[in-house]
Amino acid sequence: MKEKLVIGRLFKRSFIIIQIVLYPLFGWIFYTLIMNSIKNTTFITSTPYALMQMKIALIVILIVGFIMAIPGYGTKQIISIDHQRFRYCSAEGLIAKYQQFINILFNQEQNYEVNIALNDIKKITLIYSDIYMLWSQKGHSIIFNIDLKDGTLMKIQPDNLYLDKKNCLEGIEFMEKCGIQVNDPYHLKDALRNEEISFAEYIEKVRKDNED
Amino acid sequence: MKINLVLETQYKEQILKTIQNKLCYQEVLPTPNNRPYIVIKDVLSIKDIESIKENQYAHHRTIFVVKDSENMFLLLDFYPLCFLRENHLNDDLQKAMELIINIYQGIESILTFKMGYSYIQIKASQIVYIESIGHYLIIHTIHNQYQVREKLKNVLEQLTELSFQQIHKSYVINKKYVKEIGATEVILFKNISLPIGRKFKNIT
Repeated sequence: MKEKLVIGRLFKRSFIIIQIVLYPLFGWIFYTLIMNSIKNTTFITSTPYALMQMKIALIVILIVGFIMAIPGYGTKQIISIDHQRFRYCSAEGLIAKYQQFINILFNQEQNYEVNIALNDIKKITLIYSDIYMLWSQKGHSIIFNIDLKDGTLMKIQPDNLYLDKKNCLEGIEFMEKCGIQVNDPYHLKDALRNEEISFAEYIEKVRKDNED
Repeated sequence: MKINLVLETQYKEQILKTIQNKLCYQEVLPTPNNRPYIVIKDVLSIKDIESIKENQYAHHRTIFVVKDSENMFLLLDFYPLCFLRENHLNDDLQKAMELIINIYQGIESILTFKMGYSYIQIKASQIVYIESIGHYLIIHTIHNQYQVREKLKNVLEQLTELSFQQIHKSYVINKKYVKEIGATEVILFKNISLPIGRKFKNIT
């Protein structure tokens, strides 16, 4: 039996390092192209300091672009389970996204918003929900409803875990192996197990059946 | 203290029968002037949840009667006080009454935190201490930790009547779990040592 299982995937450190190396390279190409195309224009040649100001503006744009792109590498939500604890990292908020990026880059442990002992979990109920994705697409997410023995209620709704059905199923089964009672009233585990039908199609089918 | 009770449930008679000798209450209509008040409302289907969206209930004032635990978690969006399960109505009612009495005696409070799509509803009595780091709060309970994006000031406002005290600009402790108070530090449950800030020297 595995020691630890993570549902969801973070960006790989090597991928981020390659991106960091490539960004200045492409930035330099972009800078050179722009400068070559504008340096002989009348505006630049006739206005004092215009070329210098343009260079500064382009460099600032590239630096700001880099800073703004960083949170994109820290948006992943993960659930980590070992034999002692259940942890959830939502990367909610800009600071958390920068934090996740830095933690991946420097190989540090992620900051988990929820960190609970497995012994404290009374049961986990799996349900589904609609979410709205980019370009008004309708997506679905698995909601982990966690009922703790001390009366605390928790609703965790990671929006990307079901994309890797195998990984998500392995995680849920690992929870069960660790002794957590997992209730699955909508048979979402079957949907994750089924290779022939997509998760979204299954949810639509369940909804239609319930309406009937 | 007489609690104003708004009953929007089919189990009205059963509920009143159970609470009549244990809770000092009067049945009222839901108006903003009727405070403190508790609303007990049936949410037995998804359609009922839709109807709640139209009515804005005050945070931690509503007790929902639910059919199953699935609806219970969906209703966390509405900051409920607690839940009564249809199948365990009497048992849950006893616990709810105990909670209401504790809340009005200033012993207990319910805190709900939102993190994106996720919610955590926690009893204040479970909290050992709260730590503020940047824009985040780390809530330490006996065994668990939750990190939420909230201001310490806002949480303190909800905990003023309870046994919580600020001992540092970044720490609020639950006095229930204090083992020892020193000149510069407080020793809590599990020998957790927290510093006392210069402004907070006169803690009791």
